[in-house]
Amino acid sequence: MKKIILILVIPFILFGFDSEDYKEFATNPLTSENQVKIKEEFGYINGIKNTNEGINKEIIKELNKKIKGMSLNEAIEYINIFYKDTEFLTKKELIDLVKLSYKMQYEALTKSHMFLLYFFTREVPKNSMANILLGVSALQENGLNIESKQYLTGVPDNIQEYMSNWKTFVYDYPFKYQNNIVRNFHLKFDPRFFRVYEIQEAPAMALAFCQSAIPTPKTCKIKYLIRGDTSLFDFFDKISKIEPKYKKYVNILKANGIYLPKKEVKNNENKK
Amino acid sequence: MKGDNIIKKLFLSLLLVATFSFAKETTIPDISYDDLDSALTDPSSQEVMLHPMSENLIGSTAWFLIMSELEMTLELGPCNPIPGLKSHMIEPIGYLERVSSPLNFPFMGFQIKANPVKFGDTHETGGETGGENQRTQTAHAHFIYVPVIGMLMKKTMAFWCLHNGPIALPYLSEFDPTYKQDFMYLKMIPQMAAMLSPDVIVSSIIDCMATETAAALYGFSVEVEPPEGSMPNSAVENYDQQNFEDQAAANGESGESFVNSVKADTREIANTIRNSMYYIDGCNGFTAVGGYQDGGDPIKETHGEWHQMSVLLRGASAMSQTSFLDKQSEFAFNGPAEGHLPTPVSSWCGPKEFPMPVPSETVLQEAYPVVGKPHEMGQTGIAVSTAKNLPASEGTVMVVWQRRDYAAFGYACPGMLTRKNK
Repeated sequence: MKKIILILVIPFILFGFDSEDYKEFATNPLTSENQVKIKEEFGYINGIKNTNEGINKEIIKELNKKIKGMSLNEAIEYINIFYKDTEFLTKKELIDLVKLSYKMQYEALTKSHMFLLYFFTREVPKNSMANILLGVSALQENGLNIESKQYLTGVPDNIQEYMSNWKTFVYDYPFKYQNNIVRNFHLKFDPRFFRVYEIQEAPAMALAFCQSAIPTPKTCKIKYLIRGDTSLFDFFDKISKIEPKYKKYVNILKANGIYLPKKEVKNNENKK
Repeated sequence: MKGDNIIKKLFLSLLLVATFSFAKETTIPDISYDDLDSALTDPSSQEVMLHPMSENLIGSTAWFLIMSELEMTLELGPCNPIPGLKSHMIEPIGYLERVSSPLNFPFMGFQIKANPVKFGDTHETGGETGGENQRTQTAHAHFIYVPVIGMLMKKTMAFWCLHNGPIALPYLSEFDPTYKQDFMYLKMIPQMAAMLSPDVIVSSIIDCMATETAAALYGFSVEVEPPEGSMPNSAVENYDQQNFEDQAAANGESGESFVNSVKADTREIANTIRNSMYYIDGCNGFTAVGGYQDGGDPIKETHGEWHQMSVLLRGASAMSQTSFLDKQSEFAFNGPAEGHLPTPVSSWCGPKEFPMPVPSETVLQEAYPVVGKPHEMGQTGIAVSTAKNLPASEGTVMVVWQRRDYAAFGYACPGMLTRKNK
């Protein structure tokens, strides 16, 4: 149990976890429109539900009654009143755990991830996609929270050969390129995006905001979509003309953008 | 060890007592058969339901999950001789049934009404409302191992390393002498003593939160309608007119969001908590004594149903001689699980046997009598599909999905007949 606490406490330290973080929802947690949505989905917000029979039926009943639908402050107050420090778990540790649980759930349900979705076919040159992945890693290294997933139009018949080609292609380059491509290479075959957004010609690139770690048409909202072969720089350049806040992305790509070296150049280097 | 022998003898004697107590409880059927064959050939002994689940096998399974979760990376795996590429997938491996009368198989629409074997069942047929009758009723459970997609696409989709093998019934509670004995059922829950402390009860809140968080991150909870209709045909297609809220636009740049900052790590933390607190069934709490739900209507008590299924899955996996729920993903234990379960061994290159179904790699989905959306193990079962008018049924069937993190092309494919590959 101590180790659980450790693993939970580390993020507190890393991400500046203090009481101010809860101001946003400590007083009125999940009681806005979100609560309605979450309640519709889950039937309840927090607390435990069970159908247990037996020895601790009464304790569970009581807990159900007390904690179900509580705000964070109420839950902490409840723990303060009814629980004592034990060797297993001190009251403070318990409160910290409950706090983190609330925070994790709150953010998982309300905040969304920024995704760069790339739709392509087998005919699209590997260079095009690899350069985009290098651009995404440049954005990430400059502190932007953006992830990338690549969608192929269907699973190739000779998938092993296809992936083997990709591996050969990537691992031929110097390490810094390999690392940045491999980190962002997440190949998916989900056909639903193609259908929902009527992507009949690949490649296409989209900026999406997803409420899940796995993008799906239902949990993601694609905000910008550009069809045709384009570089990441051009993509954000065009977007920044509509929303100036994306100018930052353009500047980062301009300053830090990495592009794959041409094979000939690399060969010459080897010869030297 | 002398002490061990005494415990063994005690256990065996309890087993015998249990067996005889079953014999006493058994109600004698109206028609008795000498053997199973005659029971099966007599048409009056069988009751075929109108729409068995197997007739709607394709329509009742949430196939989109497969494409949603399938992902391949270029990270090299640790396997030998082919290192493989680290990948993630999910597949349906079987069906979990819960029925109110013995030897009833809603999956096949088949029920053996006769009682050729004494099952120790105290089920009594009675009025619609039940009353006294329901108190003596114990639900039975079956696990049917049917790796459908593996059976259909094993050859064409070889890189997935889908489960293969025959249709099998690794667990039938009717034949499990411990199923209806509370005391003997405890063996499936080694954390019994720890469970009875208030702290652990409170920790189920944490497990619940972790489960719901993981579910949200997998995309199971948030349901938003996708944009429909034709899209504008400009160079840059801006979908701002959909009036959606993109909080991430602000949060993503500043890096304030916890989830955005840690990305997959959040899911990892949530899954570590879930796997470590394996004795708690997420938001369903835990069952202290006994694995079965006694009495009540399984259809009406939706919440209990989900909990029951999770418990049965654990029980079935622990009981079965062929542990069909292998460990297929990478995870670590923290806390009480350490010392009670073996240290997880890496399963990048092949499935590893493991005594418990791993909560973070198991997904349940309602398939009969209503089709529902998938749920993380331990996630609350309340859903729109479960609240609708439900058809009368003597049982429910759920599809068991299993996730896998594996090194594609270097993985020893699983299967009940190929276990030596591991």
